[in-house]
Amino acid sequence: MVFIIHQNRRFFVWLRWTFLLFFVLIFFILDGPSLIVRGSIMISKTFSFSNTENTVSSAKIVALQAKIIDLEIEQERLKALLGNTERFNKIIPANISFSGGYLFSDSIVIDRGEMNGVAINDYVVTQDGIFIGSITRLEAYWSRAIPFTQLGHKTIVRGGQNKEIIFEVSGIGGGEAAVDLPVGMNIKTGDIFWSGEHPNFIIGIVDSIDASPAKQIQTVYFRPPIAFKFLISVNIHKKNI
Amino acid sequence: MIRWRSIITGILCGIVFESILSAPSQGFYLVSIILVSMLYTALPLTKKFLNIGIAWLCGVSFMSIWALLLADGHIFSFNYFVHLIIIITFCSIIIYVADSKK
Repeated sequence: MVFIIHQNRRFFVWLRWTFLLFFVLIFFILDGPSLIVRGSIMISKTFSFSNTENTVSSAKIVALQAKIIDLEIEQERLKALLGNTERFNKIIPANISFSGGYLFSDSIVIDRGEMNGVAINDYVVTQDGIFIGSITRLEAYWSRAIPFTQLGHKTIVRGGQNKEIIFEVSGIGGGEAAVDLPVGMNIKTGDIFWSGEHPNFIIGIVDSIDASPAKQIQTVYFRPPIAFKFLISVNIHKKNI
Repeated sequence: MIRWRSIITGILCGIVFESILSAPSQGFYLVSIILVSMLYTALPLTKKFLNIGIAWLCGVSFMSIWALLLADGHIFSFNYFVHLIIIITFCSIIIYVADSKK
């Protein structure tokens, strides 16, 4: 018989300790103290009778972030006009050491590191101007970039004829990103979207749209125009000049 | 009896994958692989392949739920699901082999 329980009492003691250890581990890995604080804030907000005027919606935050980025771009342009052309030299060509495809790994290892002038949060872009992601881990002679499609990674994108539509997409892994948008927005399959931080870089195209007639919200799925696993070389653009 | 060999193998596998792959959340691979190894050790069935099978299923389910929570309410892509299955299968095989070796 297969379902035989050996040493009944010892098994349950062992199981109890395993679960205890597991929950303790989860608590610390999910940043338990921070969760408690955030939970307390959420509860206090729920039961608060104060006015909600000060509550800033996420849409407003995205719009403000886009405005800041626009101002930064304008500042760079003015700097360039005044003769400060330093930013044009801040592109580091690099080769892909390990991409692993989407099945084994969702990150990209690059053969340029701290010694080559790469820094954390620098942008990784293909030579055709397609945005890949940003540097997250830095070593002396190599670095690791995570694509914007990494699970849970949030990125601001721009779309529309004049790049006037701004929203935040969320990575769903495996080279795809998704966002929930109102049905009224004029977005079609195949539309091109640009990076919110660098509007010159293409970030992806609309792969599919999941819209049911009964709902007011549609889920739009994005995919980069090139599969990152086929990349051989990239350019690293400095974020902080 | 606690089979430390499989637990230690699971912890080592978890640390290796956690450091090699860029986890979407801290401990995403480590906790899931430790869970698989602990379940494999804790399960009472006499057939070891059934134990590892159940542990594998729990590991995949656990990772999938965690991934769903991280994906901001969206269902993660099929490629990512295959990725999760590959990682858990690979680790389950290592844990099973490490435990069965005399």
